[in-house]
This record gives sequence, C-alpha cells and structure tokens, in this order.
Amino acid sequence: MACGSILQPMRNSTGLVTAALALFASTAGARVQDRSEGAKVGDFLPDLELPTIDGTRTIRLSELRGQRLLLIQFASW
Amino acid sequence: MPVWHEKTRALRESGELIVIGITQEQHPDRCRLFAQWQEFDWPILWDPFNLSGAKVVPLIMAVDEYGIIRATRLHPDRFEEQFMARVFDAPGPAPEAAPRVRRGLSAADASPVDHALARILFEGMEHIDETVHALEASAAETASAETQFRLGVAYRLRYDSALTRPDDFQAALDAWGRALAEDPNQYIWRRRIQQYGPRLDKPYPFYDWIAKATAEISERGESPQPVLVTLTESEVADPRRKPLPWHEHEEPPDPKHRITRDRGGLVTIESAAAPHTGSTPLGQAAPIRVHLALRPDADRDVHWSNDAGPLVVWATVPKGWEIVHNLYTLTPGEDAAETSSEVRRLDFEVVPPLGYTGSGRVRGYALYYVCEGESGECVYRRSDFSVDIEAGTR
Repeated sequence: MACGSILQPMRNSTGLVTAALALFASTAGARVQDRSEGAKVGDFLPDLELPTIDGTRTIRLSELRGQRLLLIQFASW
Repeated sequence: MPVWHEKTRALRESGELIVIGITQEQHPDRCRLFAQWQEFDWPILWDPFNLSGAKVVPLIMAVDEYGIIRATRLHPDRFEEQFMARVFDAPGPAPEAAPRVRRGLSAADASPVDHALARILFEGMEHIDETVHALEASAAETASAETQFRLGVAYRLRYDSALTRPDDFQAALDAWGRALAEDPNQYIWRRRIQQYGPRLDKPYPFYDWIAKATAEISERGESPQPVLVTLTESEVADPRRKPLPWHEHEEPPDPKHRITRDRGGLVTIESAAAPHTGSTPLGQAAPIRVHLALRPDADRDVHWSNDAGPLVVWATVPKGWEIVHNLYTLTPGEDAAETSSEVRRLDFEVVPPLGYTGSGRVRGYALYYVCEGESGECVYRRSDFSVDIEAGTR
C-alpha cells in the first residue's frame, strides 16, 4: 500500500478552458488534428461510440450526422 | 446542465436539435440518478475511460448537420443566434475513420487494449480481468499517462464488481496518481483521486446532492434509480465546512488485547490511502484520506450480527502525525435487519508532520460481532490492520 501527495498548482476548475478542446482521440476529417492538438471549431467531430448510462444501448456519434447536435460533456458532481 | 435542458426543450421537441450527454464519471448509476432527478430525457453516454479525451467538464459543443464542430463557447441565452439560426455550407466528404474502441471489435482488428476496453464497455463486467491485464501490459511497455489513468479506472471498476481484489482500490489510486504526475492539467483524472481524497483538496462535495435527489424523486412518486456502489464519507465531504474539532481524549476499546483475534478470516479488512493532489496553504501539511473496507467472507455466509452491537474501529498514527479521531463506531441504521452482510466502509484523514517526506504506518483494529452460516455460531472478534502511507512529494 503506497501513495504519494501530488503537489501541483490548481487552475480554474470549472471554466471552459480553451486548451480543454484536446478532445476526442481518433480524429479524422477535413482538418485532421492529432491528439495533442485536439478537435477545434471547424473540424469534423471525431467519431466515438459509447454505451448509455443505463447500459441498454450504444450510440455512435457519426450516426447522428444529418441532424444538428448539442454535445454536453459533464459529470453529476 | 439543467439550464441547457430547459433552453433546448422546444428545439428537442420540434426535432430541430439532438442533445447528447457524455458523463466523465466512474459510476454510471450516480449519473442515472442525477438524470432522473433533473428529468433529463436525452441520452447520456458513459465514458469512464475518458475516450473522448476531455480534460475538463462541462464542455459543450454545437455540431452541424454535416458533423462539423461549429461552436464551443456557447451561452444558453444566445444559443439560437450562436448556432441554430446560422446556415452552414456543406464541407467535403466526411472521414470514414471508425472509433478505435467500438462495439463488435475483434481481437484481430484491434490492439489488445482497444479490444479489452470495447469488451468492458459493450459486453460487460465479466471481462474486467481481461481489461486490467491488457492495460497492465500496456502500462509496462509505455509511459503513457492515458494508459495509467485507464488502468486506474479498470482497477476501480473491478474493485466495485463481484471480481474484486483486496488491493484494487489502492492500485487505482496509484495509477491515477502516476497519470496525474505526467499531466497535472488533466482535471478529469485529478477528480478521480479527489473524489476519494482529503476534504480540503476537493473543489466541491462530489455527491452530496444524492440524498436530496433521492428524497425529491420519492416525493414525485417515482422510485429513485439505485446507487449501486455505496458512497463513502469522502465522496460527500464538504470542503467549505469548518474542519471537525480534534478529539479531546479517546480510550482504546481493547487495550490489553483481550478480544479473540479473527484468525479464521471471517472478515477481511482492505485499505487504501488517497493523497492530496493540490497545493496546501502555507504552513499546512497535506492530509491523506485513509479508506477501510470490512468485507465479511461471502463464501462462508458470514454476516454482521446487528442487534449484538456496533462495529468499532480504533486507529493510531505514528508519532508526530495527527488524526481527527482514533475511535470510530459504525452503528447500523434504525431500520437495519438483525443481520446483514454488506461491506462496511470507513474513511478518515491523517496528517503527517509539515514537510515530512517518507512513509508512515497507520495501525489499528476493528471489533465486531459476526455469525457464520444460517445456524452458525455468532462471535465477537478483533481484526488488526495496518496501512502503509507514503507522504510528501516523490
């Protein structure tokens, strides 16, 4: 059993940090971004497939094309 | 998110807009309860391994009908003009790249890690050992912080499953710590440690809303979604409250070691220590949150004898360290059955001396009444524990 304190300065914890748009791993598209750069406004939304929180189905984001989408990443805390 | 739920209601109902949530949480059951409480009727996806790569939440994106991200700095009151009222030109062909982790992924077409992540996300917890092994192998070969984070998620998922292993929780905390050391600006990773960490390291109480949500859902005449993984004190600890007063004097409940030891392992005690991840005010040492889980042996049908008396825990720290209380009493609720077999959890904070770097050992014991089998003997037993803690920067 071991653990260590990780002493790092805190930054704004709730704001929308621009750098946070290092979003979505497997990017591809008209303006392909690598992971370190992240997806930006003007990029294709990188595709992602995940289960719903009730485990009853999965959704693949690319299947939603043809409709306008608001994607909200959050946590209940 | 409630404000977005309200502001987009008409657009959703008219079919002009789809809203999808992605939760960056370890436990989907808690988000299910939150969504029920807030009456969210749009799908929410579970991304425990942070496949999206989000570094903070909330993070909001407006995506047009062609799949192009059109706006990220969105305001609920100006969403119409910022996005919905705009007309976008069709871009070139959309990329066909499939997600690396996806349903139905075969082992032959994917890396072992991607395949293992797909198995756990889309096929079920029975594959958690495979996922842990794949991530352990990958972590041994690469210095990827992302892999360390995902390994921590897998350990914690296994800890909360029927396939739990005693060291899984500490292994999760250690892996998350290694990930955060590599990328201290990854707040999704930081929050996993803080969820279980010391009170004053938390940006907010993580799950203090659950009691209110459960009550309000019940008042609506609905059955609240169950919280499947029991909340620990650290997950509802409020950093804004004043610290607990330090104890005056507490007496050890078994100072002469007279209570018979539980040498047969009727109950095992698992431990973990969650570090402070941030800086502390000048002159204050960084506390560490110690977690204990007391697990009755299910194979032998060991269960707590609730009407016999409470579970008592005594904990001590090395010389020069501080602990808020030495003595803890876990009393079953008034509506508790005569017997029960749940895992009982306790967490408390210890503080090393200011500037201390090195290890320390929290020692203690638990006293409990348990019975073995339906007609088995009921006994009062003592079980000793020790938790080795590494304090200070590495």
